[in-house]
Amino acid sequence: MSMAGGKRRPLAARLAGWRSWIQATFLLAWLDPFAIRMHTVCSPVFHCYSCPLATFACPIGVLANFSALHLFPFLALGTLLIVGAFLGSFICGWVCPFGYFQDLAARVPTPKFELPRWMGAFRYVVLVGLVLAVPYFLGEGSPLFFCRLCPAGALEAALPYTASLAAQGKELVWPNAAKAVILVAIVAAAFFTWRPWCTLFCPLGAIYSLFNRVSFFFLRFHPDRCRDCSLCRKLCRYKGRGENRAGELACIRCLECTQCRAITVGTVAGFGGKSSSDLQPPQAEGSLPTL
Amino acid sequence: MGRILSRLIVPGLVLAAGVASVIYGAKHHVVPVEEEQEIEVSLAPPPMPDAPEGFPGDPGFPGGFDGPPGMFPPSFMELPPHLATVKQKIIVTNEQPESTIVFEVTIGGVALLETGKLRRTYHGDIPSLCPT
Repeated sequence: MSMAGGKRRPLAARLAGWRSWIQATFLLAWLDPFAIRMHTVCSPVFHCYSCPLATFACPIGVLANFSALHLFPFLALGTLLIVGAFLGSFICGWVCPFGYFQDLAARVPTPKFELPRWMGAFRYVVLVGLVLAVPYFLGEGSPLFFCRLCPAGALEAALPYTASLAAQGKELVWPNAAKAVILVAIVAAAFFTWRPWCTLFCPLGAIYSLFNRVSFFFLRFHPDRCRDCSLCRKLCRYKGRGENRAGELACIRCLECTQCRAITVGTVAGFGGKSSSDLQPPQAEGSLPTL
Repeated sequence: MGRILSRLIVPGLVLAAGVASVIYGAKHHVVPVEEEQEIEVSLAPPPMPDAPEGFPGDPGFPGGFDGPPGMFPPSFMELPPHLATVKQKIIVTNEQPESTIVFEVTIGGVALLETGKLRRTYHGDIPSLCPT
């Protein structure tokens, strides 16, 4: 990236260039590198706890199972509230392994299509319907129980389990067909649109996005710096609107849009993003950064 | 300063609720879970009947038992049998902390009964890493 005017880009924009590496680093943390299975603790990310390499329990899996058991999930909910209060959907863009997987798939140079913004409402249907209502009323044996449909579970747990059985020469246990079909559909879609699972279905992203308006750290839009060049919208792969960035439900806070000086990372207390002395002027249109 | 504080109220409340929820879940929230346990039960032998009067084994029988070689005294003259030990399955209810339930659901280790009670689904080794 060039540094227009000889001034350094803001920290958030520079950090965005490292996002892929940061995602990879977090992936290692979720993959239980030290064989410490801490499944009594919920992670803040969408990572199946049935994965042989899962360090923590999946919060969505715990929410669904507790709903099936008619228990209130204090630990899982508390974890989501704490993380959401601080970061909102930063988790989606920087920490979540399934989001990272989709980001990697999106690197394949295929035509990318944008999904209608309204389709993001499906995430709340999944959250309320499949994660909470179906388990509560139909139990975990229902074929619509969320974990029986979860593509992350198929990718990280069911397929490795089947592969390990095959490697050991044992009788194969095939993954749930619905789960496998959904995984194939999501993987195929990830080549042609940005993060299809996160955009359309992810119940965890639906929860975190609710915190985007109230989290301590959030993206601040400065109308006085805006030249209406639409750079922020062009940089956003999730059809976000720069002027509403702070509360954008679809935003995964990848911080790509912070390359525009009108958007900065700030805190609710007003710290950060105030000084404009070290900000670059808006870049020329069409200079999209790479992930 | 007042504006900053007002901005901090909502995230502060959310954060406080999260911390309180985690502390309550970790320290105070316990869930009764039924568990099937296999125990060994020692059964006391039935009381030995007294020997009929005038038969071998009766203390008053003259000369005690005096059968031919290879013949054993009747049962009521044998030593009392050892205590019989049998395995029996019982249902016990344990108070489990929520963190344990979190672990159990990751392996499909707890199920909700029609009675509304929770029952552990396995005994001994954990059943599987993939409940679905």
